[in-house]
Amino acid sequence: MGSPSSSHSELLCSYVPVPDGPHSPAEPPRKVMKVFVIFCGMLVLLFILAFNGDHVTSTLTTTTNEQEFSPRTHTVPCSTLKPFSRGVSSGVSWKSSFNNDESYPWNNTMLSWQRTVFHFQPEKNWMNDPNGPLYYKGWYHFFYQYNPKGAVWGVIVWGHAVSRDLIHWLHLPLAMVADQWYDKNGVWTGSATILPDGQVIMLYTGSTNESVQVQNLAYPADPSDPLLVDWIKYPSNPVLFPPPGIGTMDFRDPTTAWLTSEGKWRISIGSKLNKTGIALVYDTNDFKTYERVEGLLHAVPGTGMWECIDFFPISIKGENGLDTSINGENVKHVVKVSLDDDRHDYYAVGTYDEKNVKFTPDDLKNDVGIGLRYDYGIFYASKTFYDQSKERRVLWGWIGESDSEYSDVAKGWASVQGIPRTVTLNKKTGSRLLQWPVAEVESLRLRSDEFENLKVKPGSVVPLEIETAAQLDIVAEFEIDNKALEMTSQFNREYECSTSGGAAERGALGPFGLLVLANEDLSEYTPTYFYVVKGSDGQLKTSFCSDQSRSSLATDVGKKIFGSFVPVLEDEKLSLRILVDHSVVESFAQGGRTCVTSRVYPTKAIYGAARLFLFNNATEATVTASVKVWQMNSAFIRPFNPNQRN
Amino acid sequence: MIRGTLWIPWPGETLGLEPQQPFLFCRLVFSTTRSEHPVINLVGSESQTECEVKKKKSVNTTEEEAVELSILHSNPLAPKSDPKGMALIMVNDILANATDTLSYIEELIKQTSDEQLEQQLAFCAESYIPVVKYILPQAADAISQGRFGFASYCIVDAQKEVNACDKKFSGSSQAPLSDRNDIMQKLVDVAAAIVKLLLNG
Repeated sequence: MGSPSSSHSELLCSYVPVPDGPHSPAEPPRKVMKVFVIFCGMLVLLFILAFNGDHVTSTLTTTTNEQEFSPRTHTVPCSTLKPFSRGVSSGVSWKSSFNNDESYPWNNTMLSWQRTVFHFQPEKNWMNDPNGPLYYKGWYHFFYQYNPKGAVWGVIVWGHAVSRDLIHWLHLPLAMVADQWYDKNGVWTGSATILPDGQVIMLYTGSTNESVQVQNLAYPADPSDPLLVDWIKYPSNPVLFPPPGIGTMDFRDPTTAWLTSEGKWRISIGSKLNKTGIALVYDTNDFKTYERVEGLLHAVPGTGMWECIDFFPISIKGENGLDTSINGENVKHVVKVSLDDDRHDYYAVGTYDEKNVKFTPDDLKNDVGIGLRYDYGIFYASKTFYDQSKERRVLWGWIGESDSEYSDVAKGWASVQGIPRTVTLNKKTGSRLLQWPVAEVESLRLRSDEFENLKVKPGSVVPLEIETAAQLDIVAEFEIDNKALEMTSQFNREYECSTSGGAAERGALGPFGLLVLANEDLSEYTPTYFYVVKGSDGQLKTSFCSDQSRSSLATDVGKKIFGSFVPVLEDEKLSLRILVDHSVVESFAQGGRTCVTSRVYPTKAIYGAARLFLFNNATEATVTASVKVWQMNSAFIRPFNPNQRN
Repeated sequence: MIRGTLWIPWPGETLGLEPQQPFLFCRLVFSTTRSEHPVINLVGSESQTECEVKKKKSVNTTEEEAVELSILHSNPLAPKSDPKGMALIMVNDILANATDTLSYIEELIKQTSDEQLEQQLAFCAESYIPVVKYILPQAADAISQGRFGFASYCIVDAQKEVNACDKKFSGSSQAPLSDRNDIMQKLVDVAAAIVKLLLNG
């Protein structure tokens, strides 16, 4: 972020936008490298009244100022969606809790804007879990749960796409469809294992014609085809049935296999016993016959069904990823699960005792399912794979919709995948993973605008003049002025993003951050922000949140505030990165210690009307911010058409 | 029109060395405008006996570029109007070039102490490795199997990697790979044009 010619630019006043009607200040036609605030004195607003001269409030409750911040008068509905269980028969949408009578009058312009340009999604219809990701003969392969018949979940099959760089994808024909009795009700999630001799093994869950969950083997029809277009299901499938004592609908999502020291291949499959989530273990030599390993890899009471288990080694010292079979010194292991009951992905770092087939988390208080999450927003059924070409572990995650089924059907598609993230152990904090978008996403960066050392006073909103604002890669750093940090009398508050008042709830040292997908008059905006609290011991505690409560004027979309605590070490500035891609916003704090993904569906802050603002809604702290914003190109994800002339 | 002859080294030779043996001469003339793909016309070969090697640098004269390409072919059995055979020869030639360039990059990395240069070179190595290991061999396989569409994708991918490597040095004072990248680009352009010919009929 350093540039030799930087200088402080002090804000001269709070820039205040008008909520009623469009307001367009004259904008310089060319790119502005530094932001200078221009007095717009004629636009005095409820907004400015709300924030100028407001003093410290020591209560947690939001004041009437909050109402003034938002021009909308109706109450925000709470989007409590029923937990989605795959036991529901196919074709039924799980969003039936939305009352269609209240659906917003969406039009095509608004809906078509929502489609992303550099996140993976099929051309149309419903997608969910990532499946069997792998790197083979120079191509990254991605498979996914797909409903070829509509924009809601249904009889799921495996979609397929390839890429040279995890960003520019080419759609291929469906890899597997529901054409056998053992996967008639769905070709569900599975994982790939690449054997040392290069053979590709795919294990996946089939939902049989009687809805029993079984495990099946599949492999490429032609291993010399680098695109792995055609797949063969092993003629003697299924290879695994639910064992005695395990529910026939509680047995799914086999992991990538890892080699034991005895030379056998070992996999884990998630399940539950009453309310205890468990990881079953099986050994095999040929992926065709299996023996159940006594005991469980791990179990945590009260967590419910464990879906999409992922189990992999992580390097303690190095920055590279590790092949799934690696074990030994300087290696820890990660168990990750998707909890069916709350639709979130949790992980824990710990040690794997191969002899006793036991995983022990480093921190029992933050065990799997009760501790850390990959992402505090919408991110589920995630799965990693080891990319041997770049020696990294890469994470895929399903980002579902938080709009209504009506909208999904109207726009003809639902769900995107996250930008693949590298996963490493955060050496500085110990038992936390770092996730960061793969470097290849940076090849989409076009021109950039840089804003250095902007001093943002309490209660101000600063427009960042960039060209367009729906496809962005934003990197920003923030520093709170020391005086405010030392002198603040407000301390020891508990702050939780999800129960807070979002960006409208003011504290001494927060919230401050960016307003993405905002429109000029701020009737719609999505704050991604830090909120700092001083403890009674003088220690600072920072939360990182993404607030959808005012992302859209529509009533039938998610309005939650997502986020969590983020560790900030001594002498570290607060840093964030945000990938904005139309209706998906992926945010990363402190290099990926805490990640928050959200879906936003603005009705006005779209196309040319979308803007980007810096904001500081704290009451005491002045914040110095440096921001670099890149316009992002499309990844031109399209079908692979070998007959096309370039 | 730029008129010039690009000499493509036979596999095993490094650039700049005179060929040891005489070669059969098969000439393709093609013209490109800056924004278009090369258009290939098969002009017909010279006599099938030993000929001299033409080595001229291409010169920017006007808007249109035409690069006259000489493919040196030691196999007298290759018929002159066999675009598929020519495409294969081209791709294998490019592969040789790329493999050579990759070794060159690795040598440079060992020799340099300049950190920025090392990073740029490492990036280029990462770009060239998949080209050598997968992309060009797959293109060659695809051409010999008649899968010209897939070959076309591969060649475009090779182009992107070379381009990405080249861009890493834009604005730098040192660009040790620019000549080689330039030649790679031109070779890949020709290969792409030939494959396009094949794709169209």
